[in-house]
Amino acid sequence: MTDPYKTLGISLDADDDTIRRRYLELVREFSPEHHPQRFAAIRNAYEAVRDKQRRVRSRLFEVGKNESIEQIIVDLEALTPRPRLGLFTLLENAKPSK
Amino acid sequence: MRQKIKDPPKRPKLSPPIAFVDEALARAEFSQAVKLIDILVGHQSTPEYHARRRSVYLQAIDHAIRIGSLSGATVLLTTAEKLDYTETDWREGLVIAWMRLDDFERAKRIAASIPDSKILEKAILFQADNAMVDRQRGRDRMPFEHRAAFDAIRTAFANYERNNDEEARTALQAVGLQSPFLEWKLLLRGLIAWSAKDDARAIENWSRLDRQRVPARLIASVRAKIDPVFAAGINRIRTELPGHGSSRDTNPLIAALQQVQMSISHSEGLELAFRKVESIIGLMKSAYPEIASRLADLFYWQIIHHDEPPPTDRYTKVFGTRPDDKSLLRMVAQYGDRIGMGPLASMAWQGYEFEMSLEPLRFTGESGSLARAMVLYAAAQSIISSDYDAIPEAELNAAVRGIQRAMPNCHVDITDAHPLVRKAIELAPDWEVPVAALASRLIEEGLFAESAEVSTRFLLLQPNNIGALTTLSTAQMMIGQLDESIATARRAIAVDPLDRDLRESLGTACLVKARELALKSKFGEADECLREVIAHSPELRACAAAIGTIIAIKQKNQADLERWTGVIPNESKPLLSTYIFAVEAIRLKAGKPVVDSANQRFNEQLTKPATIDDVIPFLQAFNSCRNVKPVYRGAPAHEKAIIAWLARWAAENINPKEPLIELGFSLLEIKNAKLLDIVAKTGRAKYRSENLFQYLAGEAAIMLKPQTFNIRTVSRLFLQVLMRIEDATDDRSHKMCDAIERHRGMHPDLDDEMTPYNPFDFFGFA
Repeated sequence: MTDPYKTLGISLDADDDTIRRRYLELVREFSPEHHPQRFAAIRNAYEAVRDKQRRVRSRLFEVGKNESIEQIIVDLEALTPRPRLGLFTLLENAKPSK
Repeated sequence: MRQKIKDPPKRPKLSPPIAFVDEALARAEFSQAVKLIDILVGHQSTPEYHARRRSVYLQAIDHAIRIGSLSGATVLLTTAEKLDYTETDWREGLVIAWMRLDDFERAKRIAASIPDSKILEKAILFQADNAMVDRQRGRDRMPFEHRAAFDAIRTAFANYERNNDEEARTALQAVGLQSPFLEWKLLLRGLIAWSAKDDARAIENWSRLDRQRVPARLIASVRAKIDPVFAAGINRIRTELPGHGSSRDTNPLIAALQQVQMSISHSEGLELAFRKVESIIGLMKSAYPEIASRLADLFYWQIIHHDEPPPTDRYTKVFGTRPDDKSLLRMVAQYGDRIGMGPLASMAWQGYEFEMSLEPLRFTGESGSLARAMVLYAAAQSIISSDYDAIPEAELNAAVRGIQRAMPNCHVDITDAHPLVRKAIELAPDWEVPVAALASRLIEEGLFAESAEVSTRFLLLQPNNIGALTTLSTAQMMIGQLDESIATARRAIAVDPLDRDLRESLGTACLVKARELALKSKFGEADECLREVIAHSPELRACAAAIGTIIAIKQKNQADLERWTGVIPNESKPLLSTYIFAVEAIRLKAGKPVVDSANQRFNEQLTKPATIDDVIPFLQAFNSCRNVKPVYRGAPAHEKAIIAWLARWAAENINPKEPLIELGFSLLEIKNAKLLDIVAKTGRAKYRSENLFQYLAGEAAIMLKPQTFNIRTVSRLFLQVLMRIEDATDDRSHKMCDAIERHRGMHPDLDDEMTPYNPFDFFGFA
């Protein structure tokens, strides 16, 4: 997910203090030693929205800029329930193809 | 006559009797093989023949069971049992065979006669697998004591298939650790976890499966998709097993998006991608609105980075109206900026700002004003960076009409950036970017008083803004407010004492003050100022030394003359010292003999025969002088003389190609953009196909306007260079490739512009 607001879990009208507090909460929870990828995402998101000018610039000129079809497919897969593989479905699928 | 004796007829060679048995087995004639081996053993009762007999019987029984001839297998087994062999292998074979025929009592009886044998436990495991895969008779194929576990597994599977995972888990509790169905319990527990997307738990269960048992084989292909370590070990199996169990198999939208992915990666694939998305967007919006919105964002940026004009109507038809860009003017503006159509981009930005003024979109309060200011500033930047000559007039007019249709009441100006920047400052007075840009621009245009006014107003809001203080100091100096300039620079240094630019700015102001004092013959005060110059700005030591020397000459003070002559640090750069001294002598009205002498020395340098070895150090010196602007702003005559001299030098060479190239690369090294541009243009005019001049022209364009150079023009130049030096192995080609790659890394828009032309991308082989 590339939306910094979603990454930080803040609303669009959050102010500098709220964003800073939330950022500190998250980096305490997801330390770089134990969650390096998550930490990097949080850090990037914070850099994008840390002050009013960055927030406005980001929302004006960069919304969706980093979106990729690969990530959309991955996320749609995550939203799609996996099928229920019944016993006899498994047996049918395991038969060697002719 | 002797009668020829014929050879006796050859008798056929008899095969050994065991060979007939082998042939029967090879032809899968098992009953024939059994008869033959019985006869053989009857005639010759050797241990080898008995061993062979046991093997033939077991093969025949196995074959009969496999082909479903259960009665035939029973007859054979009954006969085999009567053979009364006592070997363990033989008897264990009989146990397994009776188990496969579901005659548990006979199996148990034989097993009981084998000392220390575990064959019954082993056989029951495989029988459990056989029972589970037998849809009709499975339950009956298990001994009575295992039927409850069998029922539990079947019930649990049924519950799992009906999404009743809790009930499935409850049913599985009936299957104990010693049960032959434990493997099936692990299989199902893993499946329940997998369906809940708890892959770690699924892998944990499935990793405990015995690879010899049916459950491990049933789940192999599913496990391979979530367990890379497992997948690496079973590549062969994975390719043989049909793929199943993926969300991609069950959600047609994923398959459709994969087709979009394939189309979108090609430069001409946007049309195909649009067609694919059109067919699914309705379903996507209703089932996954957030994904639909992200797809809209994706296409939005794809269009901006596409070469064709933005298909705005189609975009709106497919994805609907964007709340943040209702008329898609922002899209058009960004597209325009990317392809170097500044007027189009500026118009669209202005239209977008107009739209924002009518409806604040998602921005409110101060953010709304700042957002509009940013858009107006973008509109101004588009004008500044525009290259009218590069845009066909028809194309421009069509774009203008399009914007006017979208925003009929919006009045735009694409000729002057200043009003746009000023309006941006009005909307967001505490946003420093347009203020700094305007103040610097005004200085560049010689409007020093206006620049000072802009900076002063901004400093009321942000008193300690270093950028504004620096610009104000420069502007004050240029309008002759030297004391104010020095005070402003000192105020800024108090905020940031280590700022090198500030110290140089203060040094520059002191230098100008010293010059002014010297002109008023206030030599003592001038000397004080010059000392401050040397303290703050080592780069200006040569200037300070020149002024000090001229003052000393005027005062005829030999001691000071020696002192200031000793300060000059440019013995290694005599051209630089000569140039600086000549300029200062003119400015300080040092008197005709001194000025003439200085000019004579300078002209002597210019009249010397020039080789490439002379030119390059001279240019370095000249560049150093240019870098001390605005002190030398008042010496355009010298600059013109130097450029004329360079032109003469180039013309005097019969074939100046190589020297020009060397000169260009030297200018690139010393970052003299203006001269580099001249050299590159001269070179391209004379040697149109020489890629080195194209490369230098691209570098000059970037150096002249680092943030706002014409992306399309530079992209074309660099692509031509890359195409021509594709296979080159020399150092310079490598360096050019590296430099172009660096520019692409630093300027994503340039990278985007160059990417579609990559021949590997074009043919889909990226």
